This record gives sequence, structure tokens and C-alpha cells, in this order.
Amino acid sequence: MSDTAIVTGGYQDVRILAKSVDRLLLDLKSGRNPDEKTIEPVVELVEALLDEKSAAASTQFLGLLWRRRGRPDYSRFNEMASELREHRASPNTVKDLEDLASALDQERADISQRMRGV
Amino acid sequence: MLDAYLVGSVGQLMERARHLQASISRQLAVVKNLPPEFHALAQTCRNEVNNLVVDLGSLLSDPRFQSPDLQSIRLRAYKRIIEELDFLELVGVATLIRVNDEDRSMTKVVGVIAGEINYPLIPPVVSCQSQGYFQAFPSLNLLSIPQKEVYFLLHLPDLYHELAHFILTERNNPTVEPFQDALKRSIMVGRGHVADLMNKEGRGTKGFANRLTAWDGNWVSGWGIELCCDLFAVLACGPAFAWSHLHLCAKRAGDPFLVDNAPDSTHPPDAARMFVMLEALGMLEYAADALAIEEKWNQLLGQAGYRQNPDYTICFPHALLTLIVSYAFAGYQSIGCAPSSRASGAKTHDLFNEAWHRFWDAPERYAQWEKANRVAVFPGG
Repeated sequence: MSDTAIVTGGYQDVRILAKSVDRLLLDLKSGRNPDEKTIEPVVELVEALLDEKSAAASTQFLGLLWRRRGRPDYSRFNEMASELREHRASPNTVKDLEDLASALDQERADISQRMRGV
Repeated sequence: MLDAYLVGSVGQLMERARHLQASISRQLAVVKNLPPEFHALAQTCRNEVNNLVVDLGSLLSDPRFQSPDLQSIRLRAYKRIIEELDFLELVGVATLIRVNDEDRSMTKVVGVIAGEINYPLIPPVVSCQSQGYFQAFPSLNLLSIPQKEVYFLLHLPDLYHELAHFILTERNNPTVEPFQDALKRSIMVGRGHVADLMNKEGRGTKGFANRLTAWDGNWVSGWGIELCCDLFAVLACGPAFAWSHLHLCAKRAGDPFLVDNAPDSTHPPDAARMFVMLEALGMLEYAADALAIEEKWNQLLGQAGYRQNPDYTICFPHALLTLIVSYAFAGYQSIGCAPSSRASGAKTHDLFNEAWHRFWDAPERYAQWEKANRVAVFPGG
């Protein structure tokens, strides 16, 4: 009953979200209008976190690690979701997404270290 | 700098990916090296490696990555690819290139268990090369156990616990959602209890507040998952799983009442885990077994000098744990898995339970009995 399943399960969630956030940032920062497929996974997370305690366990896990690494207030989540859905991401939203991407990257590094046991 | 570095490094990584593909193909070419039950793992690894090769290519070919502003995104993507490739090499391909008789036997055993309990997913393959304890790798549908565990019966009930991890990490599958919902509800009541503690005024110090914050996170990051996996195992395997937990605690664990305040704690205290197991046994047909296990458990705690501490009592009230048992029980039933029963006639289930019966009935003769009977699990053993 090691914690590897938990760690690797969490790793998958972190990896998938990290890819989604970076894909979105790549579009937003390069001036390309992201399509719905690119926007949806990130908006889904942000919206699910508005009611975090009734969200899926994997969403709560992602919300937790974002919180530990300085996620914005709940009040920002609505704005972020609206801006992204309406294809008008503000500099603030891009900044929040960049912070999330950095948090996920740090989490990836931490989980990786735990998996390797070093 | 990054451009030149990636040109060199990506070229090397692509060559590494080709080596991995070749290793898998060499195994596939020799039927006895890679039996059919391992082909799904081989295909998963092949697909994943190919996906990573495409991702590596895009690091060099996507014109957006030429922009100086986007280099941090490029570097993060590069690191993720490396992690994935390492994981495939160190876990997936490492399993495939060393499949042996023990792996085949344990894979068959897990397949038999899956059949016995109406497990709703494709049972994972098993590698007997774990350098830790029992380990589940849901993304590869792979279980890893210590090399020689296959020859001994007392810890094998832990296989049921690991099977539950695959259910909890399954996506987009309504068949297993009731058990995933049990996890969600368990986390919700766990966090709700912590929130109640936080709201109680005058409870204490900043240190206590920090502990509460840690406990809130721990319900999400692992406590709920582990309790639900324990409950799945005890509902599927019966008393043998609880005995196996006692065995593990006697051999390896520390204070079973210690509440881990680290922010990345994955396991709840062993006493809480034993409590939910005994409750679940009582809900099946094993009230007498639960009493017998509890008696031995309490003796173990007494002889080791362990006793409850205030954090444990506050964090894991019996009412909360009992609620979690009820959620898991309902979830387990709703996904159609067969509950443990003496009358089930399930061969592996019965063997694991008989092993523990024999162990306590005549401890001095147990090793001999196990040697004669483990053939039921491992024909070559």
C-alpha cells in the first residue's frame, strides 16, 4: 500500500492540466485566438473550483495545489472563466494562467522527486 | 541558448525513444518473452512513446516557439516530455523487457481475483520487480509488487487495495462512478469536519490552525483515497485484508495514532484505517472476525505502548469514519462488485482467508502449510 498510486494518479492530473494551460497560454501569448477545445479544459477547472468542495476528487487535488502555491481569490475565477469563454482574456487572466502554469511545473518537479525517492 | 540546446537534446531524445520502441519490438518478436496478457502494456508504451516523439518534434518545428516571450512555455513542455519518457523507460518498458514466470503467475492471480469480485475494469498486469512495496501505476494499467511476495500469502490481500486505485483514477466511466462518488463524499465529510473545527472559536493556537489547514489538504491529497481503497479491499477480500493490515503495521509502521501534519501526507493513521476495516467487516458477515482482529490489534498496540493522542481523537472521530464506511459500502455495491462471503466459493479469496486462519490456529506450522498450499497461487512455487 505504497503512496505511488496516489502520487502517479496525481501526476497524471497535473501533467494533463499543465499541458492544457500551456497550450492555452501559447495561443494567447502568440496572438492566436484559441479554439474551444483549447479553452474548455482550463475553464472547466476554474468553474469547478467555484464550488470546490463538491467537485471531483481530482479537481479538488488540483485546486489544493494551486491554493498552496498562491492561487487567486474565488472572485477572480468567475472573471477568468467569462473572459476565456468570450475570447477576451485580459492581461490579468494571462498573468493568473502563467502563475498556474508555474505552480503546476513546480508540482511536477516535486512529484517527480517523490517518485524517484531522492 | 535554448534553441541550440533543444536542437541537440531533442535529437538525442528521439534516438532514445527509438531505442525504447526497438526494445519493445524485440520482446514482441519472441512469444515466450512477452505473453499476450502483456501486449496491452506494450501497445500503451508504444503509443505513448510515439506521442512523445511528435511532441518533441513540435518543440523545434512550431514557429511560435521562436518567439523569445514563449521560451518558458517551451522549456516546461520539454521537461514534461522528459518526465514522461523517463517514466515509460523506468516503469513500462522495464517491465516489458524482463517478464518472467512470477510476473505471469501474479498477472493470472489478479485476473482470477478480478473475475471473483466482478471487477469492472481490465485487470492490470503484474510485475514482480517492485523496489518498494505494492505499487499501482494506473496510467499503464500495471501493478508492481516485491519480487518474492508471490511465494507468500499473507500480504497478497493488498492486491485488492491496489485494484481500487485503478477504479478511483478511471475517467469517463459511469460504471465506476458510484465508488468514485463515495470517495468524493468521504473527502467532503472529512473536509467538512475540519471546517467545523476551524470555525470553533477559541480552540487554539496558530500551531493548531496550521494543523487544521494541513489536515484539510490531506483529506484531498490522500486520506480519503486510502480509506476508500482499504474499504474496497476489505469488502472484496474480507478479514484477510484487515489481518494483512495488522501484519504490515506490526512489521513496518510507527505510531498508528500519529496524525501526519505534513502538507503532502498520503496515508491516514493506521488506527483510523483499522477502524474502518473492522466497521466494514461488521457490515458483512464477519462480526466475530472483527472482534478477533480488534482483540489482537489492541494487544499489539498495548504491547508496543501506543495510545491515542488528542490530534487523533479530534481529527478522526468514530462518527466521521463510520460515515465513510457507509459511503464506500454503498459505492462498492453500486458498481456491482461481489462482497466477500464465506459461501462465495471464490478460490483465491478463500485461500487468503484460510492462510490467516491457519496462521493464528497453528503459528508454528504456518510456514510449512503455506509452502504446501501456495501452489494454488503460484503453480511453480
